[in-house]
Amino acid sequence: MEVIELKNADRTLPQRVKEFGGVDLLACYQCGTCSSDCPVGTEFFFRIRRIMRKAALGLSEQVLPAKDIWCCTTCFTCFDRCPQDAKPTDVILALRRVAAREGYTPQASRNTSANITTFGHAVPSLEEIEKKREAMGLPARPPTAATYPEAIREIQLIVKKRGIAEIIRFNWEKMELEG
Amino acid sequence: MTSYALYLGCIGPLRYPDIENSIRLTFKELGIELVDMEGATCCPAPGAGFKNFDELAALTVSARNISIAEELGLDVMTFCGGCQGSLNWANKLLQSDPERKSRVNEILSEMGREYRGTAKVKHLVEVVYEDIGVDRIKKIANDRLEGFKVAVHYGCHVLRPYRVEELDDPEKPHMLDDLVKAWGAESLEFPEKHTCCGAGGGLFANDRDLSLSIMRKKMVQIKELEADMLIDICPFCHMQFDLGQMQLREKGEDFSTPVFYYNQVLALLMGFDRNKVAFIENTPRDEVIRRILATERA
Repeated sequence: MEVIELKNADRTLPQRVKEFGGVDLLACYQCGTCSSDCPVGTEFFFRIRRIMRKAALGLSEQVLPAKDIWCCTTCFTCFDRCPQDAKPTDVILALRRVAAREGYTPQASRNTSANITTFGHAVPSLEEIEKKREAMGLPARPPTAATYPEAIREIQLIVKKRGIAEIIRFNWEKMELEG
Repeated sequence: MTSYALYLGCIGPLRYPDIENSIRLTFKELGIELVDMEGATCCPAPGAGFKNFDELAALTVSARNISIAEELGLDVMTFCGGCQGSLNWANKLLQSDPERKSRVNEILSEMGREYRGTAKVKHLVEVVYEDIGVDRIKKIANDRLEGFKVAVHYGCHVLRPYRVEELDDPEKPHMLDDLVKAWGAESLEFPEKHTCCGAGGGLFANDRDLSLSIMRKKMVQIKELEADMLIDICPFCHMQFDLGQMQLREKGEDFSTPVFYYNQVLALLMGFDRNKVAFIENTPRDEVIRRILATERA
């Protein structure tokens, strides 16, 4: 049996989760409704109940670097069914925010935010799709940030104000992610 | 005339514009005006974008998008689960939290914008159900799809969290089922009917194999029931099913259920040219489209 030494626990973690997501981890009484309802849990050893408990105990070294918190699809099934309203999906998002500030972020998640910063959209416009749009009588690009560059500058202002570039390590001069 | 500000999002206009066009054409004919939101951006994704890193940044991007509709004096209509999840969450949170609202507006004021909280955010399924109505769809379809077996997929963020969406019962929703039955088709029941498609939360890109295995679980049941088609109301779920089945075929598996956004089939029933409303696909739809079109002469 694995022995968890709580004397080494990170007592700041529950507070940081609260700060980054407004949730109280102590609301969770470990019933397991979240894990049994989870669409990811049947396909991979992902147990949201364990994450809830580990976060409450301050086991940062086990929770923050692991890929588990990035495997949630944010389906909100556990969020709706939790009898304690412990908001497990919000806990996951809060843990991602804490983990990202410690440098633990999957490349793909950094890419999506870099795309939104660069294009104003989660994906860039592609020439082959633009041709298909025109073939249907639509403008080559939709009337969004894909057409209006000032919209992208407004998103970049939000990114700068909120420090997202620093968190995802986005280089403004090269307009790309570092490393 | 009923009018909405049309919020496009990303995957619809930039990957499946035939979905966007099917919505524009069917709504126009059904008397619902859709006004473009010029300069709108990503919503910015409920679990894949900025919300992973900073809540206020996500709220501000959503509020900026909603403010464009407020300037038009219109409610927002989204047609993607993710967009609906982002914008409605932000809208309801900011409407009830003056402190967050003022922090958001502090940033928006630097770009000459203001979020007021006066617009509603509705998903397309609500507009089709409430403003167009099941009876109208029934008249259009005239039971032409009788004998067709349809698997419906609502998409998580259209229904959850319930306290945000307050639309249909997420445990036993009926709206999309009703709208498919209005074609004369059968809406299939299966254990994984209301399970996530596996694409959300960034998982689509973060771990493609895991994401596909979640989708596969649904597709196994849909295939066993010999569904003629899968009907979705979210371009991102749509991409997961359409592209995902192709990726499973590349691994030697046999998954080939045709996938349509609701309005694509509706557009075909209304007589629109397939090449304007349903021609971008990785999983072939030719045969079932031929069968749908053949019902016109029957």
